Amino acid sequence: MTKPVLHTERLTLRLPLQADWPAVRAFLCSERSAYVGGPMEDENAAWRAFLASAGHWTMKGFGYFTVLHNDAPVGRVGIVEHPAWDEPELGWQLFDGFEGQGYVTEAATAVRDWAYGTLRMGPLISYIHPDNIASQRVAQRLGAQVERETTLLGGPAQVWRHPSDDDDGNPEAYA
Amino acid sequence: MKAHISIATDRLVLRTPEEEDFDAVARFMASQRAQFVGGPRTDRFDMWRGFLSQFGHWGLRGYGMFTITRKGEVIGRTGLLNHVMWEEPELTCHIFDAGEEGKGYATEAMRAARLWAWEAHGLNRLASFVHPDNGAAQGVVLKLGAVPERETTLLGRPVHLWRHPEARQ
Repeated sequence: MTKPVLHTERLTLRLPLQADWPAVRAFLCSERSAYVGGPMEDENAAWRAFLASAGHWTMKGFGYFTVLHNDAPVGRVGIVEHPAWDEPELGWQLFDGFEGQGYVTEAATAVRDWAYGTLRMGPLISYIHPDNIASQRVAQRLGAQVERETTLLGGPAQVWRHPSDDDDGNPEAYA
Repeated sequence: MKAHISIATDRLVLRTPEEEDFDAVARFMASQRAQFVGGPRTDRFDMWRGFLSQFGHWGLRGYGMFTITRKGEVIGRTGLLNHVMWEEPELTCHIFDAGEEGKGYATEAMRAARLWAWEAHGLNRLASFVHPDNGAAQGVVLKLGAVPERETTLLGRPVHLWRHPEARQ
């Protein structure tokens, strides 16, 4: 496969590179990763998780993009489908210091449209922890709705369903 | 983006990993045989992440661990590891089942991987990090002509750095 690069108004999304490691390590070893499997206990665990994210692309041809603003990584947004997942998930992670600027919504919109158009997926889900209010707000801005409650890897999770490709109820989400 | 590389030896085929190798890898990582290579592990998702990380190693570095097959059956893995915590790239090999030991498979597979590392990536005189209590691994690197260079640590544990000879020998 070719390596996709997505461009939005302010952001560039590309496949992970080793250069992203310091930013990803800082995220995975901080409380900010509490709802996505962290914080990792040490550098080795964080490195395994980072390599696994890169490996998701290698194995399946899709995964988490690194999101860049002015060439600096601000987060990771992408599609993941691990064995314990019911279906492919649109997921997002925002690094420290980049909150409140709409980067995640902008990036997730681009990834969702890429998944619908290029991967022929959708309508996608997002698993969100019931206590993760910030992520629930993102899902709302993306036009997703809570579909059901479930468990994921032993913890509680809400399944949010994103609008489908031909859903014209929320045109701004496709701008 | 996924490399498809296959190397045949007298008795074995080394190939880039496939998703269906996971069960064999997970059984190994859950067993006591993985005690010197990050195991034994119990959590299935944790083992999956480790398995996926091997694919990421190939994606980021262009090299990694090959799956070793004999007559189509997965018996282990061998190849190069170069994690950020490593001093330098390492040649390593894991034979998954004790019943497949003592047949020279590790030596045969590592020799082929060592030659590939040099031909494909110019990596020569590779290191192998071996735990002092891992007698089986010491026997294999000795057969491959490696010599102990010095003691060091890897992920906080003591290891010997063995130095391999020129790949073409």
